[in-house]
Amino acid sequence: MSSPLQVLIVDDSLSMRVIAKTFVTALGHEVVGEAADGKEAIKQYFQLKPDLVMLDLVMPRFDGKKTLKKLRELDPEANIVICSSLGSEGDIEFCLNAGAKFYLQKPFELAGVENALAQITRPLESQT
Amino acid sequence: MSNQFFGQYLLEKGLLSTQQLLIAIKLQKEANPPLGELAIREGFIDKSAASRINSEQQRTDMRFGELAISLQLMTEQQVSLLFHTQKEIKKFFGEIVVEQGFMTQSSLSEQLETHGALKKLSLDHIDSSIKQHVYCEQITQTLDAIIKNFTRIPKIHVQVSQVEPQQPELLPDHVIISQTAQIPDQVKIGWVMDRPLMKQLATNFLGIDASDNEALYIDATSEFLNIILGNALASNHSGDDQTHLEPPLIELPEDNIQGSYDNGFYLSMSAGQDMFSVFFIYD
Repeated sequence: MSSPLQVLIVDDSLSMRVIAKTFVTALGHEVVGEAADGKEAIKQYFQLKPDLVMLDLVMPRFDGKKTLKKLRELDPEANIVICSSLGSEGDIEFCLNAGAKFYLQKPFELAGVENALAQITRPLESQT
Repeated sequence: MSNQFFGQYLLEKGLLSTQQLLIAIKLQKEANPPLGELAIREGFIDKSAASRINSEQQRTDMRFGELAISLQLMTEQQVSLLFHTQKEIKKFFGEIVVEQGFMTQSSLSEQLETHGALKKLSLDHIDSSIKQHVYCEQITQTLDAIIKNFTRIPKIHVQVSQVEPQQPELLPDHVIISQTAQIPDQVKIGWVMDRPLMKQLATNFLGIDASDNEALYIDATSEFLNIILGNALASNHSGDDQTHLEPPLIELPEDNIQGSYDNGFYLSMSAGQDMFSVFFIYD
C-alpha cells in the first residue's frame, strides 16, 4: 500500500477542479492546493512542494504545455500528470517527451485517475 | 471515451506504459513517412524541392503529390509509385504494439473491438447541407463528440434537430460559449444555451446541485464544451500535429456581439424538452 500523495490541481475550470478533487480524495490522497493558470501553478508548486501536479493544458495566459516545460526545467524531478480534453497523438507525444508521467484525457473516470496516480510513488524519505 | 487515439485508450486502461506508448508512436511514424520524405528517399526530389512544395502547401489546399506534379517537380507516375510504397510499408499502431511484444494479438483484437465500438459514428443521419459543407468532417466530428459526451450526462438526451439558415435569435436568458481552434483554418465553435438547460447540464455533469451558483453552472457548461471540442479535435489530428484550442470565451446577449456571429453555420439541437444552438464560424 503506497502512502497518500499530496496533489496540486491546476485547471482554469472550477468544475474540473471540483471533479478532480473528489476523485483524488476518494482514492485516499490529499489535495494541498489548486491553481487556475500556469503562473499560479508554478508559484504554488514551490510553496507547497506537492508529490504530484495534475495539469490541464488549455488555460488562459500561461497554458499547460508552457507550464509543464517550465516546471520540469525548474525541477527535473517534478511529477506531472496531464489532464486535458486534448488527446491527439502530437499532444500526447509532446507532453510525455517533455517529462509528464502520465496523460489522462478528459472526461476521465476514477479508474483512469487511479491508474495515473499509481505511476507516482512517494519517496520514502519524504513520507511522514 | 469517444474519438480517442487508440494508444491513449490503451494507456488509460493500463495496457501500455507511457514508455511503450512513446516507442510505439515513434515506430509508427517511421513506418508511415510523409510523401515528401519518401520522395527524397527514392531520389525523385531533393530537400530544397521538398521545402518548396511544403511552403506552397501552406498557401493552398493542395496535397503534396498534387503540388509536386503541378510544379513539375515529379511525374504522375512517380507520385503514384510513392502512394503505392506508402501503402505497402504502412503499419497500424496495433501491429507495432504486438510486434514489440507489448500486447498479445488476441488481447489487441479484443481491445480494437471495444475501441472500435466506441468510435463508431453515433450520428444516424447527417443533413445533406452538412455533407456538402466544406468543413463537413470537422462539423461531423464535433457533433459526434457532442452526442457521445452527452451520453455521459444522466437524463439529458441530445440529438441534431436541424440546420438553421441563419443565426438564431439571442434572448436575454441565453449565454454564448465558444472556443477558437485551428483545424488548420481558424474556426470559432460554440453553443448558445439558455440558463435552465445550463443549470441542468451542470448539475448532472458535476453530480451536485449547481443551479443556484451562476459561476459554477456557467463554468461547468464551458468546461463541458472544452471537453467536447478537445475530443473532437483529437480525432481530427494526425501525426506530429498538436492541437491549437483557445480557452472558452463566455458572452452574454447584452455584450452586443450580434455582428461577430454573422456568416456562420448553425444547427439546432434538442436536449430533452430544451433546444440549444451549435455554431461554426470560419474566418
